[in-house]
Amino acid sequence: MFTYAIYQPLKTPLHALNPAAKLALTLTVMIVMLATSSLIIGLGILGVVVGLLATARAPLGRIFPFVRAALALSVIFAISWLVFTHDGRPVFGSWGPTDRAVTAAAVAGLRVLVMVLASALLLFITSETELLQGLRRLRVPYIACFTLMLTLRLLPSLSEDLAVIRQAQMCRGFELQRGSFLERAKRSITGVVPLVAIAFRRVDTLARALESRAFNVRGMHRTTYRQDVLRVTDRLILAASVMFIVAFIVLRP
Amino acid sequence: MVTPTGAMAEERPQRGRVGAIQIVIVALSSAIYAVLGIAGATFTVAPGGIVIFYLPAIFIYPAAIWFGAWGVLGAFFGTLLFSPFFGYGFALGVSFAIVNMISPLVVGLWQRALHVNPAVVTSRRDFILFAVSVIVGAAIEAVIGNGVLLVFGLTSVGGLPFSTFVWWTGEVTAGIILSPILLRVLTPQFKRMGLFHQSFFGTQRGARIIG
Repeated sequence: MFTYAIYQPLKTPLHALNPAAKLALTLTVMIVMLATSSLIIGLGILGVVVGLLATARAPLGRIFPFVRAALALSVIFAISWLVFTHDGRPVFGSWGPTDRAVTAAAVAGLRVLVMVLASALLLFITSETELLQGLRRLRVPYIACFTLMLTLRLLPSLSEDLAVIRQAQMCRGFELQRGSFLERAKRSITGVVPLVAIAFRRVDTLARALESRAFNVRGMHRTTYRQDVLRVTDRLILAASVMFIVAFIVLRP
Repeated sequence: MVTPTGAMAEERPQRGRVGAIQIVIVALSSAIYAVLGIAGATFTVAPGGIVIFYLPAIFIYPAAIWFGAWGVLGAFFGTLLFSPFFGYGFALGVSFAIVNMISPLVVGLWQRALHVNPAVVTSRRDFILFAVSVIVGAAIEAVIGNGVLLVFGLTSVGGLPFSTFVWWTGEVTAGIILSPILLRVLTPQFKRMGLFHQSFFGTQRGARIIG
């Protein structure tokens, strides 16, 4: 089953960073990868991400669902470029994909791989609470950060609910994975209806829990237990991230 | 003062104030959207996570009709969360999160403007209006979404018509065929629970719009 909570509280230089610096670091990697169309720079960025994952001591088993998704999607992206790009010279003499299509396909595949691995890195080194702090530091409104965090908390339980619903249906002889595309699509509704019904039964309980903690009460200033301190390293990373992003967008190497 | 929920909220609603119930609706809608998005990733056929059958669309159109803008916001946060699984990471996820709000926004606003019954299968007129709103909303979203993919170099100009068509088909198939089932089955339940929002951007709840 899919899990979003891959965070591990380890003692590594990356885990010790301020959440805002962690966010800036991973977002910079993604934006730089989007800004470049060079295969060599792309490979360099992939190397940086793999290096960062090694520094964070991320075990492959923990990030495997992300890697698997990234590899599958990279192939789809690459095939699309190979099929639909006709500029340049054909690689096999007079037929086959062109040299430009091959380069573009490789860059597009790399882009997907880097984006997904950088996202996995962020989730591995940042806890949910830290993510909230980091977003607050980057001036995202509290209510938006809180909603995002609440969604993150709800994801595993809803994934579990969906898995239980599907297993219960399969126990009754319902075949979800067999049949044509249309048949499978039609059958998917049998999982969606109970999932929505079960999820929204929680509305009142959750709302009461929030209200009992004086959530979003007018005129109240929220304080946090942990103080968010930016150290020299964090400030340097934030400054370097901004400079890197600006340079890459302006120069577009 | 703390806003009460449930029956008390129906008696003393607070105008224009976002309460805990709205936050919970957004969070639940987002989580359902993300879970369905990840579960439906197996239908991916084109770059950018473009799927031939977009599973979250089954839920997000009804959510826009039931909860107004609060349901539509589910598409924003949900997309942001499943973005790593569609290959565009959190950085690009923000762009697609905004794009994915377009079609539920069109459907939700259309329903309110034309006073369509939320249980769309009750009359032919209501169903046709719902289907047209899905077709139009999905078309706008597909064109803008693929434009974003092109700008960020994730798709080629040659591949644009194909991916736009698949995006549109994926949303329309799920929206027209399966969303009405969800609306028919769950509308009475949400009516009883008092989760309907009377106006699209408002916080007032109740069953006034059902007619």
